[in-house]
Parts: sequence; structure tokens; C-alpha cells
Amino acid sequence: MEERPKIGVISCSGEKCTGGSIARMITRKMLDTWRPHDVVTVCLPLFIAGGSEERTFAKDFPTITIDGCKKKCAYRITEKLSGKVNACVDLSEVLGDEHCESDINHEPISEDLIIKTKKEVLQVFDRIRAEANFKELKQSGNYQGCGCVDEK
Amino acid sequence: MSDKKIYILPCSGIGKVYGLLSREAAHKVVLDLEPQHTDIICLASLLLDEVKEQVAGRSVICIDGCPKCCAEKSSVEAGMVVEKKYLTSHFVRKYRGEDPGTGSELTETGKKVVDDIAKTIQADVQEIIQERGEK
Repeated sequence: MEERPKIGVISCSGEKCTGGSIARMITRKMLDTWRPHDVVTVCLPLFIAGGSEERTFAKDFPTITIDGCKKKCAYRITEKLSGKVNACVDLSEVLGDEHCESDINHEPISEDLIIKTKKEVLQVFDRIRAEANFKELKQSGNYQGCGCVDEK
Repeated sequence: MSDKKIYILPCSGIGKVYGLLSREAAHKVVLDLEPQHTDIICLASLLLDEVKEQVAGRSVICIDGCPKCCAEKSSVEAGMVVEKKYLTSHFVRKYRGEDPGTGSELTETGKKVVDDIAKTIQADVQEIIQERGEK
């Protein structure tokens, strides 16, 4: 089976506001369900603490950042420490500040917000995928992007 | 009180369950167990100059998912005072052989791990608050 080149999707860590939780959930859905064979991610904090592998991420992969609020930490940090990204999805523009800037809580994220975000993110993803010139890329393919140990 | 709140900083790693455990534990402490004494901040934002100014010198308890210790390193880099630091994998050991979940969703075991971490941190918070009161 032909190995498919991957697109990097990086979520903000978003602990403080609801937009961060949505950004994280969307990134996980990209990995698990929506585009499982086409997506690779990295923990954003790894850019801060990480080594050369993390910091060349955006050079190795066409990269989309998903930010939960107007601070756009994922976009700013990725461009600062790794490389230019192909697109940034700012959820405060997609969903509005009232959904994204509110403080974190235990309320489940509504299906309506997920559907709206999915449409926007997949549109951007498919455009970047169509534009990417994979022949010029040297992808590491199996990069998992997380230092967590499998210790159960 | 708000300017003396202790920050709880999870790594929020997105690749495996250990980051989700850290995130859920932090939210449990800040939202449920110690809302008056704790606050949370986005780890990624610590790299921004405007946020560094806000948090420098403030107390923080770090919850990391892996030995790369992104939360702790980022806190130190931002000039915060790390009062306590934990690795979620150490808490998972108690449930060896059980599945805590994935980076997307926790199992019942994962929720127990979250409770364990959160209660440990709650005790730390109370200890720090008590020490501050004695000074």
C-alpha cells in the first residue's frame, strides 16, 4: 500500500478557555476519525521544551494551526520556533468570541459547534492538501509528536 | 485573593492519554476542588511576552505527561516559581494492567487517575495556603 504524505495539524493547548478545548477536540477528531491516515500532530508545548525534531516540524510537514482564541498561540509559536505554517484556523473567527473566549467549564461542547468547526477545518485541510507539493518534502512519516511513554 | 492564586499548569499533551490526564486533573482542581485558591493558564501562551509579564514570580504546580516535562520547563522559562511538579505516568502505575484511555477519551480507570492527581494537588494547595497564612 502506498504511503500517503501527511499534513501537520497543531492545536493550541488551550487550558483556559472553551475555544482551546474545541481546538484540541477537533485536532483529536482529525487524528482519530476525520483524516486518520493524513494527519500528524505534535504537542505545542514540545516546541518550547523540545529538541530539533519538534522544531523542524513545520519544515517537514505542510502545517495547519488550530487556535482557540485571538491570541493565536499555536500559530505564533509554530512560526516563531518551527517554520511558516500554511494556514491558521482561528476558532474565534469561525465560532465567535462568545463561544471561544468563555472560561473553561465542565459543559460538553455542543454538536453544532463541532459540525461548524469541522466544515471549516476540513475545507482548509483539503485545500492545503491539494496545494502541497509532496515531492519536495522529506517527511519522516511515522513521527508521533509526543514524548509520552507507554507505561501502563 | 486573585493575585495570590496558585497556577495549575498541565502539559496538555495531545498525542497520548498522559496529556489528557494532566489536563483533566488541572481542570478538576481549578473548577471543583480549589477554585478560590487556584487558576489555570494556557501553557502555550507562556511564550508570549505579554503573558510572561503577568505570570513571572507567581507560584505554579506543574502536571506533566512525560519526562520531557514541558509544563515545568515552560514555567521556569516564564519566571514562575514551581512549588510542586508531577508526572501523570507515576499515578497510572497504581493501576498497572488497566487501560486509562486515549488522548481523546478517558476510561473509568483514567477518571480514577485524574481524581488521584487532583486530590494530591489539592493537598499541596492547602499546604501552600497554610504556609502563606503563617508568614
